[in-house]
Amino acid sequence: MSELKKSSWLRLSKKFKENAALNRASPCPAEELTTQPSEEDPFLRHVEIYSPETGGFPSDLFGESFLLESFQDLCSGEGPLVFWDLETSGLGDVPIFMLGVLLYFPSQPQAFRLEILTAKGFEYEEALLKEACDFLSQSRLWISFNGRSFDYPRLKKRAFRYDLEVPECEYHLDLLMQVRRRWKHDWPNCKLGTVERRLLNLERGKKDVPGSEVPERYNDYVATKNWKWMEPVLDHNRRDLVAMAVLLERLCEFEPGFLKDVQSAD
Amino acid sequence: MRVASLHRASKPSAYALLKIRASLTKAPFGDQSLFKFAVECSFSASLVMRGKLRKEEPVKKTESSQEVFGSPANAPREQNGLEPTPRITSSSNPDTQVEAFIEEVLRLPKNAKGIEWIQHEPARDAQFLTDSEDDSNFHGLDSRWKSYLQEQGIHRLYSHQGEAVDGIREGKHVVVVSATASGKSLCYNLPVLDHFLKKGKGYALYLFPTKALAQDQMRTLDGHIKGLGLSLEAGVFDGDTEPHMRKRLKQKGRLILTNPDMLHRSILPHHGGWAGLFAGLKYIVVDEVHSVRGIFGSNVANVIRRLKRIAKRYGASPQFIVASATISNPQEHAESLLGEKMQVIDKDGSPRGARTVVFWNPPLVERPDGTKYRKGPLSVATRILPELLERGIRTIGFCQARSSVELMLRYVWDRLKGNKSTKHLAEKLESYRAGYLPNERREIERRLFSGELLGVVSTNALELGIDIGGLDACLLVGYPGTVASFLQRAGRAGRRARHSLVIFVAGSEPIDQYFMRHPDAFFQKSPEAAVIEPENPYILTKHLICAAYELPLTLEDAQWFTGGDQSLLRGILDLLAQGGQLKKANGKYHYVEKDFPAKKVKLRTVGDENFTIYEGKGEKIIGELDYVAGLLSLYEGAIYIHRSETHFVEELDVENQIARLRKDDSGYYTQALLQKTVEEDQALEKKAWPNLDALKLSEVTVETRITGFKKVRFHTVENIGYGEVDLPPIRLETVALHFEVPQVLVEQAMEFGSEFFFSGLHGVCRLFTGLMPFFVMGDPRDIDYFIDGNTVYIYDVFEGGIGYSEKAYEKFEGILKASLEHANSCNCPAGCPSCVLPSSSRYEVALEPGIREFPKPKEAAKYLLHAFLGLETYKPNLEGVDLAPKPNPLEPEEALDPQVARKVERAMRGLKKFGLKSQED
Repeated sequence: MSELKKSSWLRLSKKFKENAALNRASPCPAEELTTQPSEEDPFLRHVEIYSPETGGFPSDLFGESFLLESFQDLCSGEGPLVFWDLETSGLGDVPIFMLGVLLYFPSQPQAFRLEILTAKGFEYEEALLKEACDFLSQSRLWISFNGRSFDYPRLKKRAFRYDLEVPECEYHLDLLMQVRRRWKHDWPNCKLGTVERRLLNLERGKKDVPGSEVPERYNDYVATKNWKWMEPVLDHNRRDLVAMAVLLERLCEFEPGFLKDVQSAD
Repeated sequence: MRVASLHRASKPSAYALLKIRASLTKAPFGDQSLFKFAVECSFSASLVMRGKLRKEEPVKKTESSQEVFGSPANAPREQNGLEPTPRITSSSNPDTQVEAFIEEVLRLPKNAKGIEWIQHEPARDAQFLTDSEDDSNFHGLDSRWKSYLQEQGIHRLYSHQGEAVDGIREGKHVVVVSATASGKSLCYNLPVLDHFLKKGKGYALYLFPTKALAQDQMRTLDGHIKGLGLSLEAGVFDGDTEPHMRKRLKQKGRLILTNPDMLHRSILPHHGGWAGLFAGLKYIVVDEVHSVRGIFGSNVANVIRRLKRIAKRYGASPQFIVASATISNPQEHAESLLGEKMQVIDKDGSPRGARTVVFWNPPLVERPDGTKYRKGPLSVATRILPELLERGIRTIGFCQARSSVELMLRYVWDRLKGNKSTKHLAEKLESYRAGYLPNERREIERRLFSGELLGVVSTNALELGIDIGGLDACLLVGYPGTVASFLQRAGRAGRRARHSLVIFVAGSEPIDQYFMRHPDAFFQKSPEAAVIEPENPYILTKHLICAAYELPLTLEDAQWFTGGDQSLLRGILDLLAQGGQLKKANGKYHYVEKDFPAKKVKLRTVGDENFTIYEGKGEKIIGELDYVAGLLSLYEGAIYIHRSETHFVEELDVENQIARLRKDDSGYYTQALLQKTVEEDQALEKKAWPNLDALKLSEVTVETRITGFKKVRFHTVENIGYGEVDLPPIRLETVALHFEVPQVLVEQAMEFGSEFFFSGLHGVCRLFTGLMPFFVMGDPRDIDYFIDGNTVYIYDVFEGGIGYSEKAYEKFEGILKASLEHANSCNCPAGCPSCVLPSSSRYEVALEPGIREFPKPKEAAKYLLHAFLGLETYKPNLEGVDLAPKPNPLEPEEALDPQVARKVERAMRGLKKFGLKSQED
């Protein structure tokens, strides 16, 4: 990335911030639809809708609420999009316990639907994975952060245990790879947090749990059935998903035709 | 030689008849001179062979052989096992040496009087499947196999090798039963490597019961792979494999050699890392399956079921090729171990040289006080071994204990070094046992194989098929405990189709002495059966938990684990779900704990080698021993003998499992003094029994305490002092069936003398534990008993119990009845190893001589058995016995059998309680 281009990126980031500030002018609480689970339910389902009507992305994510106004113009034309992110209970071949998806349908411009499912125990991984497969098969374009080398292989590996078929995707856009390609040499690392700070001008509060704490919290939740352990994990997953959407809009904004280009280049 | 044996000899043994039927003219010695010689020497009057047999034996001359290898002098037939023929520097021909030894040494009056039996087994010719002399087809093997084998001097396959290749091609699972050195490993290497030659893809998994065997086979395989020009990634995956090699084998390995423990603990739980192997698994080879028996065997059977289940998920249905030494039930055993219908190939087509078996009893000598005792077997063995070595006869000596191995080496070295003419031979003799460092052992194996060594003294460590090249003689110092083991060891001699010699020197154990008195009884005895019970609830439960970790269990899995019985499987799994070990969701049972269940499940009863033995102050390690052996031989003040050198044990750090020794030419060795106790921890069950103070089943702790040691001078065996030991006892927490003989009965029996009562009680225990394996589907080695006064404990030799004594509790009456029947039907006059005498020397605490030598043990046992069975009082026939009075001394599902449920629960508890001792392989 040349110096010139980089500076233009920074300038544009600022502009984004201003836009976000504008969005803040019309605050409206996000609708929260955490369904009351019955005993038989294998997982807890957490649903949120982010639209102009609900006030966009709420302020508890990154300190201020905002809308992605130009998402429709820049990123659509590709049919429904699925942003997804899994949480697992550690490294190695260990269970997946949380699935987060952020869905975008071009028919509903400016609206996103967030769904986060949490397995109520390790034995419900199978049900969770089935649901994940259903979500993923709804779209021909998946968007993830490190999903190509982590989430997808992990999903396949775990699904094998239950004899589940994992859908193939026409195109799986791994935003981590895109970020690496562009800023690998300029940044100390390319973690999502770094992207948020350096590119998106977003700042997670101190409340955000570090990834290393996630497995332990889930264990505590399973052992105690107390949801308090999981709340920060759920927020962590929400932020990851929303940050991905913001990042995609950024990339499309700076590189017109980005989505088309990456698909044909890959 | 006693007259009595002449008399007995008039009855030819079936074994000898069988052996003698082999062809004589085809004997691989060019002409018949050897046979003539053998007949002459073995049957010669001076050595008293069975005269009747000599006259009446229908020695048939069979049709002339299809001699394949031209002149027999350069015919390397024995190379069908692909071993290079070691050459001895001596110019002498070992055949004539063995013959000369028989003729000259055994004939000497001082030796002849100790020899109770000599049996000659003539040579057996090679057998082939096809008649064609030029077997150009080679059973359809790839042409590269053919040219490679021809380079090795092999022009045809022996019948069992051919049958194996054919059977595998037909898609059958095959079990090959053959002797050591019969070219057994080719039976599996031929079809497996042929597949790689032809298809260039697929995977194979080889399982060996020990790490050393895998290493040994790897060397053979390397030779084949190179010779065939194959490009094949093959390697040993075990606890010693370096991390980079592990990674490489996971990624690229096509042929993996490993052991059941590693499969259980590493490969199966991480099947995802071995996806390629499981998806393409074509062949599974299991070698030495006869040794996979008892608790170990039942565990391995479950590991194999898990393996098949995982392979199935990845889409593979592998074919099994397994090899076994001679046992009485190869088909039943292999089918039960692998859960597949097997084709048995038990006609060993390899040629065999003539063999002479000698039974030798050490002399009875008189003490100064006029009493007599029999000298130990080492006294004879240490005298005979140098004579064998002097004649250039390559010999393996087998001792029962590690300490005897060291003593024997030391004594023989002393003898050899004491004479100028034999001094050089000392370097050609080594010892071999568990406890030496792996590289030390590999080095000894190599030197044996290359012919550098002329002799080796070993424990059972060399009994399994590590290739040590051809040997001429085998010296068995004491009875190895089983016929199968005797034959295995004896099979170590005679690899090269030459005349071989087996000398069995008897120990003082009753069974040794019995066989000296009745050698024909030995040759009529068939090798023991291998018994396993894969569905033993204690074992199955643990493996179901491991299996659930690998893939969630469904009722469909009954096809693997419960022979298709879904309600049994559901019952066990629901119980595990209730106990919180598994979680049920969507009809599947999941393992959800954080830890790793396979780590808690041990396949073997024997511990790992974990005491490290240091010499001096520094870091020089000279050996390693497992926990129990470490305590028994490395207590402070002990003399530890390592390759004949004595070391004084200065420090034993039990916690860190370190022993520090210094070299010390002590002139004596030490023997630990042991005391055994059984403590009842928790009563499990109890029922009334006639003439017994109730029959009980309890959790018990068997403690073996080392109370001290005695110092014994070398050679003279003089006791020169005692020492004290302060060590933790060796504890075995297990389950025991126990009962107390009521005082009334004790007093009644004591009227015949206290020896009558105790000898009888021991006799009952021996009968009972001897028959118990058939009732409880266990291996005799996993069951033991202990008599404490008038209380008898029969317990499982397995931490936490394994259900044997529990089953014996359920079937108590049946086993007692069988015991009495057995004692009645045994046609020995007073008691023999087949009934009331112990069959091996596994009892740690020696019996008092009065009890051991009671002349009518069978009568005494029958007396007590009648009482325990509530029958009419038995009148013992004690003719000739001195009867002078002596002073007295959770709720399961409806489908599950409640007994099975109880066992599952106990197994779960056991897993929690004992599971933490992980084993590192």
